[in-house]
Amino acid sequence: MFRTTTLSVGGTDSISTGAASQGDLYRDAADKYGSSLERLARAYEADPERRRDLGQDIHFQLWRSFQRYDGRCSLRTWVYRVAHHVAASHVLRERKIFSNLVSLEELEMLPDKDQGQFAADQRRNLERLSVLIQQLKPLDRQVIISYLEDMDAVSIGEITGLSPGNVAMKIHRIKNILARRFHEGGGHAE
Amino acid sequence: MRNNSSGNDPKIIWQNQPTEPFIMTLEKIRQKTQELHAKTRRALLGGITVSLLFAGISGYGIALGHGPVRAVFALAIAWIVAGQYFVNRGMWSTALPGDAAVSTGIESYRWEVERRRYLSGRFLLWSFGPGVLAIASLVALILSFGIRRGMLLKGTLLNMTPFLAVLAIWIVSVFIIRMRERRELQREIDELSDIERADR
Repeated sequence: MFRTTTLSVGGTDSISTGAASQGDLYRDAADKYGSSLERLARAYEADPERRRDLGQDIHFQLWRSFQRYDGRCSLRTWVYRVAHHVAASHVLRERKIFSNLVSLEELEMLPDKDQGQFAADQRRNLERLSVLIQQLKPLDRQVIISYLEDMDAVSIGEITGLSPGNVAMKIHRIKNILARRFHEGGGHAE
Repeated sequence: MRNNSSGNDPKIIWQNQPTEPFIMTLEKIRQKTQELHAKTRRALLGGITVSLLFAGISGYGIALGHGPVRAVFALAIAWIVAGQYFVNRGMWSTALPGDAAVSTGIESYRWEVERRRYLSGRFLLWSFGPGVLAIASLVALILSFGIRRGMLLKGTLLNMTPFLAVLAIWIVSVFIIRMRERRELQREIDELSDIERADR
């Protein structure tokens, strides 16, 4: 049912053979999206030690994936699809039996425990934003991360496979949630 | 998005977080590959050790038992051996499905959830099942020894109560936890199907 793939990297020789374009593509992707990938790992893993491992896994799988890159989609879409897949798989693997991830719809309904205690410094705000993202189910996490990375609905749809309408609805929810939780002086989203 | 000071805009907060760029060098790739192989080997050895333990129990049962009891133990060994084959068949697979990058997030996520559900079912059938059979047969064997030595079934059972209680709790707990996990995974698959249906 589930086909298996074996690692083709056995030693120095097998890495260098025919790996030039794969390596170039990987370096290009790592240069362009390295920081985004690190942020993505943060959204999926709170523990710094495990986050570093997840980051390395993402880079490793990305490097492997370029063996099959055929330009059917943009480099950015490819990078994010691989990264989200590795990270979502990590979430499923590490998930505690009784943990309860929520959807954007559910998160929108949940009261914000810290409302009104919004901190002024960026580090704590980032912490809060990360915690908020880490509560979400993987698919919704993909949408919110892509949104925070400034992607438009079409690009998010390409990465997630959701229709533009569905993405737009989710973005609307994300904006509501963020506006409610990151309010300052009562301003509203949009 | 809105009139927000930069310190308060989630997008800016998110994008301005400190990062340390990481590049996978050939050395790191080799290291990672070795780690993956070592991890797989460890998991494989762990599984084989537990199976050998259960096979040992069954072998002991065959040596001491007779008639139908031997047949049950033989069945347990056959189940254990077959289980090792089926459980380890996909052992060398890595985290990435063949077309993870070509498929969209929703497709690859569904693939992963379905895989987890499949693996969970496989564990119950091929690892847990033969283990429970071997233990149950051993308990039956011990009971039969007690009876042959003139003890009453009720008395033997009473003597074994603490052990049987712990055993029963373990079996039921593992079963419930795994079934709950499978139910949750199925719920996620259904949710993904709903999303896909709504998207069409």
